Amino acid sequence: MIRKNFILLVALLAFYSGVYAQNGLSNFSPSDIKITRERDFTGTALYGFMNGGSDLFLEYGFRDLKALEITYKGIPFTVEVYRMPSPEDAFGIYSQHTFKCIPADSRFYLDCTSARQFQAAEGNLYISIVFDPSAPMAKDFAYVLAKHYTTLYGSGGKPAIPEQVAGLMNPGEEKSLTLKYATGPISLSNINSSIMPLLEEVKGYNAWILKGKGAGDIIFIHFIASEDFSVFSKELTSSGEDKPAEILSSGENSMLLRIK
Amino acid sequence: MKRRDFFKYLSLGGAGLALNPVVKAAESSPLFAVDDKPATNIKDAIAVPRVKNSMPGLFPGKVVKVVDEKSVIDGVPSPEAAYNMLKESMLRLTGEKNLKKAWRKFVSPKDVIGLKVNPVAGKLLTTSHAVTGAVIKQLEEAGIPRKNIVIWDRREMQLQETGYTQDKYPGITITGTECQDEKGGYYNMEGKLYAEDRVDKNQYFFADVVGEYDAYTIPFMVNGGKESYFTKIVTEKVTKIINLPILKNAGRSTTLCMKNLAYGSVTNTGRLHTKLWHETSAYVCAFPPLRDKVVLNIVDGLIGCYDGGPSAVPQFICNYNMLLVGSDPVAVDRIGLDIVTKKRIAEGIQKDEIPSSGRFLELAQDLKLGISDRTKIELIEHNI
Repeated sequence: MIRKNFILLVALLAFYSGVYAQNGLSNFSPSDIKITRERDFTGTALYGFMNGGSDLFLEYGFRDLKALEITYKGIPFTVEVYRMPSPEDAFGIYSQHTFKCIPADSRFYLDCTSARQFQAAEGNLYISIVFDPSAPMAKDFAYVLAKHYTTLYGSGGKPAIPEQVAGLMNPGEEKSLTLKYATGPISLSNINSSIMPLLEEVKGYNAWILKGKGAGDIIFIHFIASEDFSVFSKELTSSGEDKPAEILSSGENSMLLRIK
Repeated sequence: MKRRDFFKYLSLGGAGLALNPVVKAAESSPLFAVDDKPATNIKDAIAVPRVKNSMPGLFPGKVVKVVDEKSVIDGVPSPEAAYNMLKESMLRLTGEKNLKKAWRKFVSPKDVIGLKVNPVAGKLLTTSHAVTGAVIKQLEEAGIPRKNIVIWDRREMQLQETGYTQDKYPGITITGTECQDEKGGYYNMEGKLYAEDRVDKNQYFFADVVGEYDAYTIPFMVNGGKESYFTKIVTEKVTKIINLPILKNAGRSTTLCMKNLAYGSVTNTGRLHTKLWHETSAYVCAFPPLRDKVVLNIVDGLIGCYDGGPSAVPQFICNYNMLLVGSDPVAVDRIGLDIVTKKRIAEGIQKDEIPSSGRFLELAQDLKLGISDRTKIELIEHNI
């Protein structure tokens, strides 16, 4: 029995090391990276990179961007490393970009791949690597590069998902598919705009959104100031028939809602 | 929930916080009569008499849509397909049988013609060289010398990055407002932004919203304050403008003809995105440098996107395989918005049409820049 298990273990190790080598992960060397163009954008200078697209990033508190055009082993890649104030904000901006992106959520805290792009949220970083899908190994190299740049620039840490939300997620549920995080009107309305009119007079809040949970999205919203919580509660309860959400539970300056 | 609020927030996250501001100016339309909006100088624009070429130009309310499913080959727009699609578009728009005559309705060899491209999303989603090349080729065939053609956008750097270089376009001027020297610097020896000399401080869009920028940002905004100055490219350099936007979304709206022109022509735009997106898209186009010089709009929809715009997010980039052409930027934008919206619904990005996404079109129609009412638009469709 022991001998059988040992053989199985050796076989598995051999298999994974083969895959690892095949994917080009085992022989990564930063010297294989050639930077052809490097740009840095800090704060609102992001307008210089993406104009109006910046507003969403700025709402999450975007700090700075390292935008690189590189080749790795001769294959071109576009690397964008966005440094955000916190792991929650990095997750938030990542969660805005996961549509039609196939999640893995295993190699990084969160990661997904689409036909031409690898994305990850790791610590306080959101990273995007665009590649030419016709280039051999490009998809695998994108992962290697993401590892390299998150190590180089990241701070580590994981987003603190409120218990009220985490408790509603199934074990092993891919967060990339179901969980979103918003910090203001642009990000929240991109995800679910149902309660936006109730937030008109509210200044500071953040919201965790679980998509596709039964009858409607579930939103856990937390207000920075108790006055804002009061304003929102009043608006919601006085909405009458037009009430866009039902209250599942309420806590200190926070509320768990199911969107109708 | 009040109905007013409902529509207000339907537009959020796309074009920004949409229904906020409008002019205090006492315009006749209800669109301009809202009191709680920042004041603008749109009245100054309206006060300037219109000219023969003023928007919506020669063919108000007429849009030609030409589709060629083989216009993108292995992810690359085909120059031959683009040429043919443009030719079909021009003939159908003008009703001419001769391509040269079709072009000469809009431009003459005496004109200096600015091609307003859109490189902001980088190499993945720029106005394609296939379409820009087709326009240049047909202009030359119509007798326009290359020295009279200018490819321009707001940022010279982004033109270079997306391949709009002198090497690729010999004999044609390539220029932008914001620019760098060969060492990548934005300032001259006197510490003045190079871009400052490229803006016309006599012509500006005023909005009662202050732009405040740090040292990192100012090279991309040129100035702060309440004025957005027009680039000299449109006030001095060119006599006619051919607008070449891309078929792409901007949040839940689109960034097509009007947005491409408005935000590409003035400085200090950072303050205008969130609160004044719709107003800026319409109002800036009402000022004479744009209103009286833009003669043709050619939306490059060979490759476009349906979400993630105005940036380029790969999973949302798609081949629309089409051109939309018209002299009326409002009508073209209306058709373009419908196409992008339909695609967004089909892809599950949104469930329904969002009327407020096209509010800038209503504002523009009110300013007599074109026709936004789709029931009054003549759409000519042709498949190759």
